[in-house]
Amino acid sequence: MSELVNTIIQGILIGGLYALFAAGLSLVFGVMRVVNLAHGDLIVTGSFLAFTATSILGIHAALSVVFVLPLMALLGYSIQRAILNRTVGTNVLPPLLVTFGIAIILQNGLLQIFTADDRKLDFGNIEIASMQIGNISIGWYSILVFVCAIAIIAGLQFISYKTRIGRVLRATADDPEVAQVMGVDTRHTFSVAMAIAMVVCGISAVLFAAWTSFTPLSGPSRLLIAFEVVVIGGLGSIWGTLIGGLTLGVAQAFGGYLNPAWQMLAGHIAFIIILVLRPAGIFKGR
Amino acid sequence: MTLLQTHNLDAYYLDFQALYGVSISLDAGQIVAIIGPNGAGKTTLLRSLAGWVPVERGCVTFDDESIGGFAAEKVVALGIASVPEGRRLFHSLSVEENLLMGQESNRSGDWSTDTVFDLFPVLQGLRKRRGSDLSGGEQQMVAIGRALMANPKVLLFDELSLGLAPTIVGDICRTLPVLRDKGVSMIVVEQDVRRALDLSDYVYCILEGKINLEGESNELAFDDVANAFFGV
Repeated sequence: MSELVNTIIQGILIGGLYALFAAGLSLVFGVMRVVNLAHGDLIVTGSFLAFTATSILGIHAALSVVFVLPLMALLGYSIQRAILNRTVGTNVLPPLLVTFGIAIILQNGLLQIFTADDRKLDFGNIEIASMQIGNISIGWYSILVFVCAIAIIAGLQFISYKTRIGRVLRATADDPEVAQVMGVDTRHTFSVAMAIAMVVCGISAVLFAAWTSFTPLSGPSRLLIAFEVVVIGGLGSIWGTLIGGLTLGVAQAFGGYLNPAWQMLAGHIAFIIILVLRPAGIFKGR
Repeated sequence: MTLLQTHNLDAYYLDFQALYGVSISLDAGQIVAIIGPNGAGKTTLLRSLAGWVPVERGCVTFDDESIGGFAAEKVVALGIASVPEGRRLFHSLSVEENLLMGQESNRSGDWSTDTVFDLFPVLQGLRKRRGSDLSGGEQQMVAIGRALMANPKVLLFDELSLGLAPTIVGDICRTLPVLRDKGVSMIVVEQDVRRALDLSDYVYCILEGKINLEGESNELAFDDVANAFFGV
């Protein structure tokens, strides 16, 4: 029994991280109507940036965010400004093709530079330390990841509803043409949205890089998780994204508890069940 | 003093030519009405002025500067704000947030959410409601307030009365002279000929993309305008 409880708690904790994967994807789709197929590979790029920063500078893995986050923001802004803005508002296909192309470029570029070896960030002792409650032990690192995830999702909610840039982003998502007539430079706004999404990706990239190992080809599996979370949680709701992440995390953990080989399978089954029962997601957005 | 002018303006809507050599002019402190049947090119004319439709540089002048083809966000920054056809509020934003979006052009002036609420007191109690929860008339008030928040010199008003209850239209028409007294000049697209003549100083009648009648509103005979409207 305590093993099952332990499993579910683990599922909840990694669910926070899954929600972070999805938050960026959801934000980009919500504002630009762009399905970013390079999302997973951008996360992996963030992990490699963190890996490079720690191995060259010899700093603690957690400190790598100082480099990773500004670089990811810059990368996101530039990709949107230079490339994706040319495809926004056309129809769904051009952005799909372009982001698919970016995904391939990133994967192969990373393979060239870093080879296909497994890499992992080292967070030190916190990775193995745990706290004991009765028969249940919870890793401090998982708790740290979960707390970060909640804090970032709360931060995104705050930005969306309490700040000027958040208001402009929501207005642009509603009606980009009228936003422009109000004086909004929508090309800049789109690029800022991508930069914010990439900062969130950067944080999840660093956290996940210490959770499990990664290679240049890990992107598509991250993208799949992000997609499933967005569909489960419902588009357009930030807290729905969190619920989606937790649902997927718990389903995977439960599947893994029944049989270690069923972990991913259980996540996909949960996704399909929810897609059938509630096609608009658990939290239906606007 | 002429504030906003078009000179032989040609404009295209998708592949169609929608305007042929249209010349209109708006003086400071004036209300100009544009009337004409559906598809005549009224909305395209307003959109050409607001920067939604690409036109040649020299075709539009504002304060003696050529502004044709400027992007919409540049046009509003110069002081030409729009109340779009169908109101087009940001539906997931509250009334107050919709109004604040009008400030994105960063023009300084007297208009604020408080002065908009003075103009339309009914909006005060609705400030936290979403744009999509309002009646058509309330939405039109928000759309006007949102445009005023840009502290415009010129307000472009598309389809003032379309889809609104007659009493509401009366209320809104009564605010136009108030706005003019505060220094806002206006171009108003209106389908109701009688109302257009009542509320404006000068009228242009447009048919199939060309001006076919123009004149001072109080000098034009209703029948002449009605005939021009139908192209008789």
